[in-house]
Amino acid sequence: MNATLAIARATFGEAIRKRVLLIILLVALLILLVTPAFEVLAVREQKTILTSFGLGIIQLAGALIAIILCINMIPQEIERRTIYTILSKPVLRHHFVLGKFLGAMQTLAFAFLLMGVAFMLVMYLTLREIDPKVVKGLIMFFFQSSLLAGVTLFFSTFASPLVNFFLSGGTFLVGNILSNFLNTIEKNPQVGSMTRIPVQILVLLMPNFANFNVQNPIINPEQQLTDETAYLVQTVAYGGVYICLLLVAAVLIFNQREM
Amino acid sequence: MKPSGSKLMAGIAALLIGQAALQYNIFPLWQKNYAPKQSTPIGLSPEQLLLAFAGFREFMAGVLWVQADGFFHSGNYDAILPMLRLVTWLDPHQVDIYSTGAWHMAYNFTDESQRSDRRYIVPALKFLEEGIQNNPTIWDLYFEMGWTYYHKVQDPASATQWLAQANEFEKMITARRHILAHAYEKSGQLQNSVDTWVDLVDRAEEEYRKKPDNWEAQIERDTTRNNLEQMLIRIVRRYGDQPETQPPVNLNFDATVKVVRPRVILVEGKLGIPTIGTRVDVIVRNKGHNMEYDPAKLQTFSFEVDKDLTYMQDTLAVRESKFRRELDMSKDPKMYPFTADEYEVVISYNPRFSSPHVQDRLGWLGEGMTDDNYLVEADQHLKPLGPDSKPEDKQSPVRMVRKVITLTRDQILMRGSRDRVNAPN
Repeated sequence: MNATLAIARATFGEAIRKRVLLIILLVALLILLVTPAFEVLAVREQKTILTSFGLGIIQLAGALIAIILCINMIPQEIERRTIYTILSKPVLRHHFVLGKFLGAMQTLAFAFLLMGVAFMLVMYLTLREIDPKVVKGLIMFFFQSSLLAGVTLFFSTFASPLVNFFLSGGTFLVGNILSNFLNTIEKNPQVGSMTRIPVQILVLLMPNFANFNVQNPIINPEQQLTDETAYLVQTVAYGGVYICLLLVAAVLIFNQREM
Repeated sequence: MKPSGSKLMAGIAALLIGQAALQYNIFPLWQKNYAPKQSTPIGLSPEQLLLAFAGFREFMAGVLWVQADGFFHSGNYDAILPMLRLVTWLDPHQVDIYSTGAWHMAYNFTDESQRSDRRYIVPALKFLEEGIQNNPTIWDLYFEMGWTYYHKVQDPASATQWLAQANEFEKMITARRHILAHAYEKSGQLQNSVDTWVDLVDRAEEEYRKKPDNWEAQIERDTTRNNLEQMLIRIVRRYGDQPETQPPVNLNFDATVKVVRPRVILVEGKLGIPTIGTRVDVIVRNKGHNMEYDPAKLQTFSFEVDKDLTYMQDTLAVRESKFRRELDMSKDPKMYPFTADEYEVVISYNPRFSSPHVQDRLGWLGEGMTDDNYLVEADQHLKPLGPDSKPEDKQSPVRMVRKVITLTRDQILMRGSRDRVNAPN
């Protein structure tokens, strides 16, 4: 366990020194700071736009950071041959994979904390109020990005960074559409079971990123939700279970890899 | 210890089943709470579509709405319409988009004389109806629907149905609750109006008792009390033992229309109302086309309007019992295409939309007025009562004066003659 935590700490330290990640974070922070420029809108619209922009930028930055952070994690260690130094010590491969992922989560938590604080500061300076529901959105986006980090790390055990970028991005895209797709199909009585069943199976198998998109009721707070707490708890549990699944699969592939 | 491949495989299988079970439970709740109400947006650029697909629907909606707001401030109203459609596709819970969009359509597409294009009122109502279907637990759009009927369509009877629904919401802004009482009054439902004011006074008294130091609560209490008192006084003045509405005043109404230039008409006439603050309505429309302001007329929302329909509505001020004004429709050929063969110019006066001091003499229902030639009785929706009218249509019919003049297309376009054309009456 100590070895895993040591790798996580090292990964975090390395990540926050990466220029590309810092640039994404900086751009996100800058955009967050300029969102009050929409002061031409009516007060309620201004709050709606500010919240949707702020959460959107944070979500987008979180997804980009997750992909760019994890895309190189394992291939770079192999390319630089630093992995041999690590694995020559009493460190097992699954410790290495888990440590890398925990380091990625730590980096994401740091980025979300920074962006969250900046967003709330902007919100307070613009609207003179902080909507506590925003925290709920930030937490769900953090889990969404963590799941994406898990997906990217899994792909990085066998794919090159460029291929991984498209694989992870594509999975994120499809994982956001699937529920919507199934919803549309279920509402349409003309769609037969030959189409519906494969989509249902896909929804049950693929990582579903749309589950974490809970921003709509935060942006439009008048909506009435059903069993919101149960939904949020189950979604976080889903994220956790799916991340475990990806890590175990990554370990399985990584264990079989010749180095 | 290095985990064996078979153990890892077993773990993967167990976790796969676990996540699928969770997803199976989550999906119905997601459908209820978070599923987009509309289908996939069409009309977004590829990068916008990508962002929307990637879960950034609300973000894209925000970007587009800011863009639409920019178009509004630069006067580019045509560009706003598709934006509205896209924004509500992306986020159907942003009620401000529905209310602002419907307002744009109903009020802001104007001609050179600042007359709004009334062909867009039905799409505006349909847009609001769609908004209500997507947000049934929010009062705002019920109110907006009621207000559009009350103020823009001038159909207070239809307005009351929506405003009454809006008033059922506890979160409804207090001052806006008053509109229901006004709509009942304007539609001739006097008892309902009094009952609404009594209810509003009770609410205001209760609120003031809770917050005696709150100036808003005090103003609301004073306003509702005053409005109830005024309503009761008006009823007594107009329908008491010695009603001020009797004997009826003869309006001696008449009107003429002259085509003075192609697509420009001069409307003039007389209306014997012995006080200022009266306006007559003028409608120029395709002959036989009675605009029905009913969202059910459209199966689904569409920005498309009948490009062959000419429908102009304006009001003329009456001064010293006369009215006279040129109505120019020459600068807006898209709005007034004049493609039909015949047109009706409807000139009318309806006491229901007059100011209170005029109504004190004429009554809410026009009991205090008569006319030798043009007096008609119309129901609340301004449709003439006919043999097929249902009993409920005949509730509190209003007495109004109306004259309809028919013009041909050639007359309006001044084809075949370079002289002024006097329209046949």
